Amino acid sequence: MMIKVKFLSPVRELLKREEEEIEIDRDFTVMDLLERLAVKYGESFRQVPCIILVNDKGINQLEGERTKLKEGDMVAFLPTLSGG
Amino acid sequence: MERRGGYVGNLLRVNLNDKTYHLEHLDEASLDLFLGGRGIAAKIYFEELPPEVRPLDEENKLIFVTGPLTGTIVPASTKFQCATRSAETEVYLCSNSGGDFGPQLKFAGYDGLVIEGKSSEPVYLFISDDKIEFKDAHVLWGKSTREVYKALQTTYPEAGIMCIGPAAEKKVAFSCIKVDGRTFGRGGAGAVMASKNLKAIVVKGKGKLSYADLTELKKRIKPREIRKACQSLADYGRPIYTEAINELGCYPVRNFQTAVFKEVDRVSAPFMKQNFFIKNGACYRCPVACLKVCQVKSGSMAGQTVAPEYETIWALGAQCGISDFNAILSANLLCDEYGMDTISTGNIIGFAMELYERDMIGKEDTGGLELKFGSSEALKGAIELIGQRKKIGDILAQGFLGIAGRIPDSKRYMMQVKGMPFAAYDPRGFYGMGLTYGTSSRGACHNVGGWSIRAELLSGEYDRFALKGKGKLIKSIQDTRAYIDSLGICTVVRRALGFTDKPDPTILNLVTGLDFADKFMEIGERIYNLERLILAREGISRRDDMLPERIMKERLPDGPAKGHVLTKDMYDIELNEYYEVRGWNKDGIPTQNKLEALSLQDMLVSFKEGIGL
Ligand code: SF4
Repeated sequence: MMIKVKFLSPVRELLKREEEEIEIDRDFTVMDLLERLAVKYGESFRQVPCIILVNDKGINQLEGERTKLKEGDMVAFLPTLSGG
Repeated sequence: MERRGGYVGNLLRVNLNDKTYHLEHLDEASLDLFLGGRGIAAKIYFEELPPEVRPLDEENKLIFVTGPLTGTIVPASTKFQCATRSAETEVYLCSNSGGDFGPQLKFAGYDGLVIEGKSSEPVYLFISDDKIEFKDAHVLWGKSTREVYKALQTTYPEAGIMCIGPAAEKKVAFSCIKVDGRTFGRGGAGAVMASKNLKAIVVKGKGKLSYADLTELKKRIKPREIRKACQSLADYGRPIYTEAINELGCYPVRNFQTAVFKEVDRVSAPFMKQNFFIKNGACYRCPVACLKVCQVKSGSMAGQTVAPEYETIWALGAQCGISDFNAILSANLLCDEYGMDTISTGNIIGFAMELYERDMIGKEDTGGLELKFGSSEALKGAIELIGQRKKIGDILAQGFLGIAGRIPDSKRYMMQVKGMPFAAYDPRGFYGMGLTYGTSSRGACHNVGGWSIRAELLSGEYDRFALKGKGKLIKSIQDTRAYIDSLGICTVVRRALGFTDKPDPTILNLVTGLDFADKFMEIGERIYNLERLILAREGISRRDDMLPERIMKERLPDGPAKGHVLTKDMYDIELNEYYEVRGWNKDGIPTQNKLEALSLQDMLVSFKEGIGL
């Protein structure tokens, strides 16, 4: 199964990547994805504050980092939004 | 008044008719109820500006009030408030600004400054501690804000300075007051100041503010941690929102015809940083320094610098279909020179571009200008026409309320509430933002109305496309914002200082020596109700809280919010819930019970007298 991951600033600047496709297994969660990305790009990736969306929805409104991912899902890393 | 830390205890009242002034003491009871800043300004407005006063009448007043934290050692304590009858919405306006002016006003010995009357000749006001002078401003009249700053900064280095530009002098409805590089932007306070023949106010003071417990306060304040908590804003400024709001499908494009900007890469914060950024800028005592100073690279403004805000980049960019960042910066500078609010200017030009493309206005109106979406020349030309009130610019300069009577059938393309143009969020992508725009105390404002994007995205309670619960959410954000606007700090650092919807009073207690415990949210609610009472007295009710036709009838054509619309029926569900949680009646008027519960009964009596109940 493939998912798409999209990086917006500031994560994009750290990773120097805009997006990538990642192959996943069954029961693969957002937490698994974070681990996979930390292995690939280094632990500092986890220090960057950001909002994670799965198919345009904040993961807090799904099942947080336990949200399961499936074929064709789009995960996006956005900057934290603190106010107008 | 017994001396409390943070406050000075005085209000300076200046009358331009006879060039007199006097001091008044702020009473403690009012400070307990309304805190400072926006709260005290609203109270003065309520008591002194009857509904029949028109925005440009000499009876209108400019009410500037700082908060108990303004000018203190608390980080980002730069803010102060202005209340006046708006030239743009023609009703109550509250506006906030940073800059050095607020802190300097307090050092000079005043928590607030009320400007009354009208000078017979152009003047500027110079305040230096207890010395107040009315200075001839003939040589400054007609000058751009940049020229005025240059002249006054040379004469008064290290002073706080506010001034207006030529647009205000020409009564452009959305002309602003520039304040040390920051702005009282929205609502046309600039035109009010010009109507008083007041070009600028300069203030400097040598006084020191008092603190209840300075030692403990110093221990509690950790500028480095505050900066860390706001790291992405420190790195990129608020333009960091551009890509995110676009990704979420609520970034308005071409007068809200879509909500996804295909050229977002060319107006994003990283693009700005890579190609135009030269240095960071910060307001008074701010460790975040979110202002990203950029330099124009080419054209007639090449070499000049400006720190563009997220909203400005949108208004002069995507709203007009423009992705040429150099042109956006130049337009930002041009608006600043004329002294015009960038959000209203860009929104109204985007609206005019749509009318042009629909053949509702033509070249004969624009003086030959091809007012098409995406044209940087059209943007620049339109700003000049508005600033100089020439051709179609003379009509656009009247703001949406004025335009409605001059261009038939154009109202359906106006993205506004109560005459105030929308900001950079499409409420069809976040339904709570519909209520934000609809029920804000100053027309369609994303700040005063309660910026809900974060909560709608992150809170498990409030799905962004749900209607239920939004009334409660927006009320809570509005009340939070109302007390923060009364403190005198910048909203960016509010969370890091503990000022949330579950406030931590420690900082304010240490400054003032009072115990604010759990009073903040009630103070915020009281201020919001007082503002609604003012608006009701000026004729505002439910019908004025409605959203534009486009939001209620046209579905978004693309992006994550594709197909979404906030119909009248849907919006009524939100609005009914909102009025209910507010304790207002079905027409949006605060009820007697609610006002009594908030200790506003005295105001209710004069409200009833004011509207002849
Ligand atoms: S965070 Fe930005 S806007 Fe707020 S006080 Fe600091 S520099 Fe000014």
